[in-house]
Amino acid sequence: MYQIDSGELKGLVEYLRVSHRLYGPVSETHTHQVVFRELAAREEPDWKAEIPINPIKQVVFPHIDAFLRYRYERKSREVSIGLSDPSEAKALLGVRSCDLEGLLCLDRFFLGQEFVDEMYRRHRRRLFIVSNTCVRPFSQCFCVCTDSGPAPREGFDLNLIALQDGWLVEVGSERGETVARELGWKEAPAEASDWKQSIVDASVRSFDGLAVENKAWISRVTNRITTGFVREGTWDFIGKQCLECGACSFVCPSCSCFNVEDVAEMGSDDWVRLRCWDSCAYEGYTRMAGDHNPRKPVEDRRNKRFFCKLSYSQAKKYLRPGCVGCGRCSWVCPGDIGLPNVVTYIRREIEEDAE
Amino acid sequence: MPVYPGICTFCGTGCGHLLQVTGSTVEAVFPVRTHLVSRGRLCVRGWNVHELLRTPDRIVQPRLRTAQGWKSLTYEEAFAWLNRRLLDLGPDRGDQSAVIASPRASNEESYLTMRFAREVLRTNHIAVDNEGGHLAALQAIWEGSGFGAGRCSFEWIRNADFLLTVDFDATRQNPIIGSELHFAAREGAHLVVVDSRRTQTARLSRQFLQVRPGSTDFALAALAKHLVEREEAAARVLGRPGGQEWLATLGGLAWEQLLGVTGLSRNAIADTADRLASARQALALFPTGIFGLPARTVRWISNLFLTVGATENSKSGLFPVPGINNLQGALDMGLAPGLLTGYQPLEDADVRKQFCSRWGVEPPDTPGFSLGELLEQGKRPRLAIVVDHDEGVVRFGQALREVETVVYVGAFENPFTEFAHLVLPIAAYSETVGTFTNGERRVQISGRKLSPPTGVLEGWRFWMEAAAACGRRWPFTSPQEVMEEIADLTPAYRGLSHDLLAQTWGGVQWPLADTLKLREERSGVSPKPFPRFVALQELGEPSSPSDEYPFLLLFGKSQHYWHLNNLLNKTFLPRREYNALLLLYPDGFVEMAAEDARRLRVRDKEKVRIRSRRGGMELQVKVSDDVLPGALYVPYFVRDMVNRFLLEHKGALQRGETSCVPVTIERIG
Repeated sequence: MYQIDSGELKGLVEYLRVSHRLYGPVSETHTHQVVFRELAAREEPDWKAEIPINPIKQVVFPHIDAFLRYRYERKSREVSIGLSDPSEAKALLGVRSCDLEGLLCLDRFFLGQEFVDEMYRRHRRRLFIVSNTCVRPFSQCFCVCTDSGPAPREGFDLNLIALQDGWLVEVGSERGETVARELGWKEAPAEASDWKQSIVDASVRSFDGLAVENKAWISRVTNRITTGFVREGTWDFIGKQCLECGACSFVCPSCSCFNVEDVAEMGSDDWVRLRCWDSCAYEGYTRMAGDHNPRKPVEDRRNKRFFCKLSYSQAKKYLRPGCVGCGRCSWVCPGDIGLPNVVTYIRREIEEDAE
Repeated sequence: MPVYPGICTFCGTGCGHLLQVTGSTVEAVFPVRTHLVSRGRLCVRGWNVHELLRTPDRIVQPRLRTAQGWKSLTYEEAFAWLNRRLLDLGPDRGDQSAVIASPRASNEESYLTMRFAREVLRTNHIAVDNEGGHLAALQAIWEGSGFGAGRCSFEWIRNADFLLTVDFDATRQNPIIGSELHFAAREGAHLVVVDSRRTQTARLSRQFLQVRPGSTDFALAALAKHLVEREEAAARVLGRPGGQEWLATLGGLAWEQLLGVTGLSRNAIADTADRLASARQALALFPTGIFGLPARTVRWISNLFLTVGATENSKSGLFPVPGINNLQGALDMGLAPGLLTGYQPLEDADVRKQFCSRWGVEPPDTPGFSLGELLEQGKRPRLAIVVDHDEGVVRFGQALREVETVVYVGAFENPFTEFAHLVLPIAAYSETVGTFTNGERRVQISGRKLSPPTGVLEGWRFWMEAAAACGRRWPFTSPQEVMEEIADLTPAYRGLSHDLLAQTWGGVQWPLADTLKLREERSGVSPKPFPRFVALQELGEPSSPSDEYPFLLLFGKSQHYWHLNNLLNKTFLPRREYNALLLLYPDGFVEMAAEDARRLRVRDKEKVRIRSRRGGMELQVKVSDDVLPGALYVPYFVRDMVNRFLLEHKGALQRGETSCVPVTIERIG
């Protein structure tokens, strides 16, 4: 563990800028909406910013990713095909623990199974991640319910913990260690890990007072969702409130579904193959050849989403629950059925059954 | 990758969004939690707007139809060609030309379109495409309140304790308003849905009054009749202008008829009406536009609300919800046959003089007609300019082909170019600076986020250069200066400027000063006291089924089949959703109650023929519990219906008439 001051933190940003494209949370000037985006030259991330509206998955799994370009030459009858190579070095700054856990879920989905997704691998290959421990939660947070915060446990190169004055820096990788040494940071005193522990403990304790918007006691509902014993009436109640906008999937740090399209490029003979975020909220998403749709009614599609986020079978894939407790789905849901509310409805049902 | 704030371009809700742009490509869209209207939400259309904005299906070069096919031109050549056409029309050009403006264009572009029509073409044959009932609804509201627009704010929805929607498929047409209704209902508001079809909003409501098709006015009359049967209510009604006539109208209605026609129970009427009477804040929301409410229904709502004293002072009242993003703004900009900006009447000589002081020439003084009306009257103007067509005039198919010159102006390719002789490109909304006015009169600025395709002009410059080519020089150097002129000539927009709007994310609602009475002030006649009960036509005979035509047919649209789908067809995900529906029902579908399907011995997806007195179409059956027995529902996207069936019924369906059509249905084969 190292201890640095704010000047040295600036030094870290400048050091990474030399060889990386930098990404971080920034508050948009007019709207004050925090977004996670590429930083402009000389731009600093906002280390105190709230959770950005978009998850960091956008860097490795863009909203629209034009990953393949091809062209057919009529005269020579030749086809040229080029795969994009987005594997330039990128540093993600100020990553919150929930988003980092989401990224690890995506890693397991895209890289950790029998099929490795080449595009994801290229985006992901050279990431340097500087996470930022949440020393106090934001109002919509519930990572303590999903075991994904407020401090990250793995996946970072460097992890910052804000002190009253300056920062503690935890090292999570060899690359992180190299950076720390090259920047000549001072080792933190021996009691620094106790400081960290008490900061994180205080943060967890403050959830009751500060993170008041959402609670999601997900361990209580995992069993019922996994076994399919949630009452039909509960899914109906949830499903009829779904406006089928797809927002929950788009802002979810761990949602990985996509659609593929071939599009002509304006003003050229090139065609581009792209993939774009998709959502299980859409009816066309599960429609199969021959008109069969196993999940045609909206309530079936909704329960698919919550099965994906909360069931044990999915958790085995991600090695953790699919929900990382960021609370974005409750921000964006026009039907007021963000995941915490759904968990509440299922818990209510369990309690009713117990009575 | 910078992000830029802006306003969504689809419906009239006016949600805020952020667009992420790399070079010449919009990469992503995000909602904005700080936006006053959308508060972090977007609908399926809004979430996929970036897909539209990167479509290659753009108009990028002026083109002229010739005997040999399309010929590319420069703007200069195209405008010169247009000017020659105008000179051909001679001094009579005003009556020989018509303009259909866009309900999507910014206020600045709309204003310049209006100025071009009146100053350069010298015509008052101006209308907004898809204007449908919005103007008629505003007129009906003005008759009762003296204010020429809905006066409510979207934020009132959450505070209301009584919410009434009338024929409004809110979660599909204006989904974020649908969301507001849902949140309000969850927080305890009494949400009442009057509709013939069980919509999602109906499923989320506290009370669903499922009326027989075509009986909406009867249901509203029944609610009012219940209220005035109490003495104190009747006394209050009598104390207002028009009250006596209103009581007489209601007195002349028999309960038996009202209940029989609507199919509602006396108890349901009583319960809803009593809750309205005791509401602290009551709002009535209804759609305007191509399938919006007819003005007569708006008058019934207006009188119903006045009966319980629910006026804007109590944050209550009538809320017309436009289906397209700048429909309200386009009308504010005077894109109407008889109005100048801010609903100032064209006949008012003082008003015309003011416009003359800026234009150097007075607008022509005789109110005109919309192109649709002209065609319907059998007239064929020699020149028609159509901007960004969504659906309105295509119905007139054959008649439109008899117009000598049709000019189409738009950012995106559109099947309407089939009718056009000259096609002119214009920048998309994300490629220019402009302001947009949503359904609550909120004027918001949307900045330029990327450059238009090479050579394509931004709208304000487009109209300026077109005018210059036709001999009228305009002094603007930016859209900001256009807004200065608008604010100067328009009492409703006084005080608005780009500088002010740039400082206020979320915009401001007009009028800035609440003292404005709009037309009442300007009309020159002695102002009537407001609010007042509006005189109503008799309810007349409801559309009723007969032995020959035993079903009543309704129309509607949804989030994936939205208007003629010209825009959504250029996206990936919403188009996929639309196509998924078409794969199931390639010929489009007609929804029918299970009971009726059994009786007719037809199954889901079976093809049937629908016939009315005037026309017919063939489509597939979709068995649904959303419609009552005896009712049928056809979504608006069905091509056959738009091209042929509606053409035959244009009389019945113009200007936002939602009235249903008696039909019969037959099996095929």
